[in-house]
Amino acid sequence: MPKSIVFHSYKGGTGKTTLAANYAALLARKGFRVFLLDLDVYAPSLQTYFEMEPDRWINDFLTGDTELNDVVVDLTSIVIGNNYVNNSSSTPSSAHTSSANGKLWLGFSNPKKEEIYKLEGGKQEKVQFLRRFIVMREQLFSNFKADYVIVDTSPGIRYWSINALAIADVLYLTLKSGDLDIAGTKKMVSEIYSSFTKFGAKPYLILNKVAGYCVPHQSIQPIEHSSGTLSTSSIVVQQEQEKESSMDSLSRETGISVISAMPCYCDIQFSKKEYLTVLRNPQHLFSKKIEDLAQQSQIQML
Amino acid sequence: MEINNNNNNYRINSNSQIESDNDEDLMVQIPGIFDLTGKNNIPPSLFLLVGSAGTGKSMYCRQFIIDGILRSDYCIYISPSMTEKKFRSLFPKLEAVALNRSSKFINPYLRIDTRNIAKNSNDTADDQDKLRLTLAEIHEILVNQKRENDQNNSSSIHGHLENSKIKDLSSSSSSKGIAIRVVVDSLTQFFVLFGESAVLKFIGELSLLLKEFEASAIFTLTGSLTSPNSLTNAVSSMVDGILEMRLEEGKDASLARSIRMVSINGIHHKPAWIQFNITDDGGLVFGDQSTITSNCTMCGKPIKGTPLFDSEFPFDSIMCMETYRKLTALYGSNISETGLPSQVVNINFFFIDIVGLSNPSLSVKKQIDKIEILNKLIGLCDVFAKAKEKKIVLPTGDGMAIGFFMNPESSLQLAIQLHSKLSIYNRGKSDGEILGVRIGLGSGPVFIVNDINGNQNVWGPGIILARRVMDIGDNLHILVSSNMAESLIALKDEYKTMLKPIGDYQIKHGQTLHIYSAYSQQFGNSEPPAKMVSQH
Repeated sequence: MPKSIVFHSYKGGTGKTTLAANYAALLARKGFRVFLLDLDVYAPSLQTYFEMEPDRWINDFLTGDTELNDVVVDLTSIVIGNNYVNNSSSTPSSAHTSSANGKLWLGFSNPKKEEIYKLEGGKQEKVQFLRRFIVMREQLFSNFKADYVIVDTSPGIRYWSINALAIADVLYLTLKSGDLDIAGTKKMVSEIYSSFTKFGAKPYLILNKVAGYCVPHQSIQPIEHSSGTLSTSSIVVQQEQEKESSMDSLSRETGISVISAMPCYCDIQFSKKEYLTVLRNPQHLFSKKIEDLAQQSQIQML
Repeated sequence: MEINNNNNNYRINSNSQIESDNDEDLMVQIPGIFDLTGKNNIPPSLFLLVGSAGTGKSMYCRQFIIDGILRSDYCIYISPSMTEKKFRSLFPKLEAVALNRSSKFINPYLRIDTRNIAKNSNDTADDQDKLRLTLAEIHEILVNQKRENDQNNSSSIHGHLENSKIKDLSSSSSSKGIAIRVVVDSLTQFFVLFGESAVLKFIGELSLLLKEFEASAIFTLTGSLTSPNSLTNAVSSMVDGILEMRLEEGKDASLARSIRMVSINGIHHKPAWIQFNITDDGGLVFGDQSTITSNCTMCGKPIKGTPLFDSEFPFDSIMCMETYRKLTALYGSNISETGLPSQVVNINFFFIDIVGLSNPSLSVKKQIDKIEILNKLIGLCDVFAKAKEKKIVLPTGDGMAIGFFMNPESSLQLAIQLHSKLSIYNRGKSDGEILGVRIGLGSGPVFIVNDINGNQNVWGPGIILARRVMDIGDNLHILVSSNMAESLIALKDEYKTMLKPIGDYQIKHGQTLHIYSAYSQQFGNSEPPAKMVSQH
């Protein structure tokens, strides 16, 4: 069953974009038709992440200036190789697909300030933009046969983040383990998420950048515990226990399950250049975590 | 919230179930009912649906089940050639929870009688056992549903007796309970797998059972009524009505599907062919699709055929309607004249009401006097009268909500200034004349919407929060939500001594509010609110 999965957070810097991009790439590599949309319209970053300067942007579709075929860029090649494919050579509606051959398309949001202002246009314009956004979702599933639409949203409670949340079947609310993030997340869960979950959207928390792995992972020899979780030393075992305790507490306080706790990997966190870890280094503990997240969420969606 | 589909009126109740307007009798709809009969609904009936292969019989049954689940009816799907997995795959847009709660799939061919496993009986006896077991299972389901209906009706009646003004919305779709829908798809396969005589006996017993429990059912049969055979005639005699489907080649080489109601006991109808289309997502659209009546409120696309309605807003798909419902759950049902939100802003709210205004010993004249005095006193406060920032005033009957668009201090300053004026006004007044108020302050996001009179209004979590905070308080309390209090404390030191945390208060849905109280010797109420004391 096709699904819209939205990555959201109360505050910025929680790792939404990294998680969404890696999650989308992993699903594509597993054989699904995946569309990753940058709906962080106020501070878009996926174009930098993928080093793309597309001819057309999501903004152009929302304003009615172009069609979806022109907006989504086929980046399937990065799942199976290293080259980007120009969208002129492959369109989603014509591309050959099979369950054994995953596809990854991206829709980018325009970072130019005048384009961002435009999406904050007048009342009537906003209604039209929202309508186009709903059409986009519908076309991705019906015309482009998407298995998954992954959406990277703006943090907080803003017009476009709420619009993105409204189309979600699954809501991933990412947060770091600091007090500010947790307090904000709790507030957002009670004020905003309940409206969406009432109508079937499934919310999950992803606790990201949990302390405890602040050395490059190559120097860590993973060991496997009886629980099946990977860790690296007795110190890490203790940190794992603390992490699980904080996950339980967070679940209780928010009423939402913590589906994953992602350690803070310094080699990713402080890398000068963004890259898709799940593709570059599938054995990385982060990649394993994303794999685990994908498996868990697929089970939860059944 | 109301939904209108096929000219039927429904309400979404508090459990997100759909209620019919007709509470007197158990009435049901079949897909295209209005086009087929000119009526919105009909009494529970059993139909034979006949048509050659590919006419859309199974898709019609699928729509019948989807409509049922959306109306919280209980649906039973019987097929000797389908698996449970295949059945579920027919409904990708229905939530698994709803499907599990409101439907049952039965494949009679896969029935196993554990009592007979060791018995080395012949095939015919096995097949008859399978049909017998299927009947027994259906009977059990129907009995259980009836029992649940009776219990719901009983509790509903009890609720009515306790408070005749409050309609019990938590029970099922009508006073008679949840309707039952059954699909048997297809009899042709039944005849092949089980033999004619066994299946005719099964249909006869099943139809009696379904009639006894007032179920609606569709039995599909591949064939044609223009050359009916003995099986068609036999099955026709056991049902209440006959539907026929046909498939023709259209002018542009497309396939044109149509359906007609050949007969139905006791209900006047026109047996005309009605065109229908199967949409990309498997939905059925009846009637002349060249007539576009309206545009979808959510996606704005022209709606072909009969739209779905939520309140007065039309939608072209369930997906669009559900997205709209998510947004209205957040922003309120009357979110704008187009039905869509357009502008979200963060507002600092001052919510006030008059304590004891609804006291029956207080005359209406005195009630009105108090409201007018409160309005005048607020009008005299500098922060209200002279503030340059944009604000919005929303009368609430026994008080008002004032939203300040810019300065978080404004709502607290207004509360302090009002208390000062109230203390002067109340000096020397008798108990009945004293004007008591409680105030709640909170901030949060709201949508700017136009109300029915074209006036600007707001709705959203911000105003709801302020209202909930105010509701906790007693006379003279100035209660403040934690987010606003913490913002103010961070702003100026003087607020640290003025704003004191007084604990948590649990409101409905398990939500906990962390409350501050603003007080000093000049304003506010230093006592904890009675509601918080009693909760703790």
